Amino acid sequence: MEPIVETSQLKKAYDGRVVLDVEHLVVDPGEILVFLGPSGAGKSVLLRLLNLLEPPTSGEIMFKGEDVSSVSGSHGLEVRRRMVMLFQDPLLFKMSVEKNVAFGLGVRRLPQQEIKRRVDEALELLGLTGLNAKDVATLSGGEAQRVAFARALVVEPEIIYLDEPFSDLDFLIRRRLQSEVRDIFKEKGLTSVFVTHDHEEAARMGDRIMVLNEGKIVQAGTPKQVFQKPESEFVARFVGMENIYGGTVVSSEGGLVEVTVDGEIIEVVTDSCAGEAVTVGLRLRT
Amino acid sequence: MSTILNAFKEAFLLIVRFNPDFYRVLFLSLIVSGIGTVIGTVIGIPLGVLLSEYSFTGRSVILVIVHTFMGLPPVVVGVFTFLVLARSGPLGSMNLIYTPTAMVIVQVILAAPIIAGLTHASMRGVDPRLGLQARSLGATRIQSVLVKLREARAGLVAAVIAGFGGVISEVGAVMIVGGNIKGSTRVMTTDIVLQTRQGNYQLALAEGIVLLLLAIVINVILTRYQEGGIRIGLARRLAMRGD
Repeated sequence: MEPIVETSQLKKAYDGRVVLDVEHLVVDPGEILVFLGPSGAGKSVLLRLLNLLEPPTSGEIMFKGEDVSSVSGSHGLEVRRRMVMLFQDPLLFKMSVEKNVAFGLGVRRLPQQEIKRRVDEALELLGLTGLNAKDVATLSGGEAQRVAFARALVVEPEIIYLDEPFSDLDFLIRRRLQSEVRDIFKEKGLTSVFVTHDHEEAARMGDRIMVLNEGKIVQAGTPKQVFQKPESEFVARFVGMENIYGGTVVSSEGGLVEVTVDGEIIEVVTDSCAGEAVTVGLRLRT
Repeated sequence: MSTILNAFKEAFLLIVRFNPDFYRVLFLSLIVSGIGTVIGTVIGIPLGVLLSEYSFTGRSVILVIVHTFMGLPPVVVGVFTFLVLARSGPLGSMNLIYTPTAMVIVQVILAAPIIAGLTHASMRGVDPRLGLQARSLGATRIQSVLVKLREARAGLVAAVIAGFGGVISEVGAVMIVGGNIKGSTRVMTTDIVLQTRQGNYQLALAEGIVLLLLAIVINVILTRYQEGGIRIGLARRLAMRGD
């Protein structure tokens, strides 16, 4: 199946300082792809490039097979209107809930009746029925983020970019909304790219995870692959592994490796040769 | 003390007696300052938006000039405009000196930088991600700027209030280019100066009170808009198509 988004040699630099350098990236239809990384890893920059809000310094962005890296003018607007982005803060405009949700449809100049119908549907989908006329200044944090989701979904994007949209919410509200949003995306078959610095959120939301550090993808795979087989100490620590030690392989036979760590022998299922220096991460299983 | 109290009484009488000379001066003040503020707003708001939202060569230089002009001594503007509009000046053939048009010109020169500078500051105060969010939702660049303008409306109205306040209270420049000619270019502030010079302190203070009342009425209207009544046409229409 043709990817929704594909990039190659994508780079972004500000004042000569490279903040993003992604060799190759593919977003498949219907998947939730999560970029996991610390602050300053380049996650938000990547989303702004993919959403065509900023041009890349170099490299190619393909959207459904079309090179959109430097697309501009009315065609650029046309392409940008097929995608949408949600930020960490709800960034609601100072108007009612209903008018906020209608914004994207208004700028597309859709007929009033259709706007009304789609706004009502979006509000119902996000559990906001009855709040149509409410001033956004009076909403709780959770409600405000729901309005932001309704405002993004109502335009029926082909891909949605999410920049840590749950990070400012309380734990319980965050959990509930994560689960609801994932269900909505899966039900609609909506493709999404989600960035977060929270490894638990990445595991909960993502079909695939790409770990980003200092602008580069340092590991990619399913949540299971990334969490169970981190390929570097950085990734191991970032996905919550706290017990990390240096050791030496003493024997290796049939995929079972014995490693000495501080004089203790640990058996690990992996491929390594005897005498090789390795890093061992231990995770407590509950 | 009695002069001050009598001045309030005089101010009341000035209003209720409908003296045509007084009302001519009052209306000319309103018209000159009103037109000056409107033109200053038409120039100042787009200029402030341009300086806050777009990058171009010379932007910083223009911004410094605008900020400097915000504190420009009105008499300097008056003298400069006088020299340009005077019979022997480069625009002397237009016969604008000592006319209300000349007074409007100096008021525009005074109001526009104030409105532009405060518009720039207000726009810079809006979260820049709001513009990005609007564009991400499908807005064009201009539509996203209109969204930010709407968000900055309290600051924009404050800019207009400051611009109007600056010109309605102005005396030096309008005196120089208007000449304080009775029935033609005499406005409240220049008449107050005249009455003070002639020793009519009570009348001067009474006119000052009326001027203050006028400013209060206009500011009440503008503040009401600032607090939520204002609607910036297109931004609102775009957002309200779902009504």
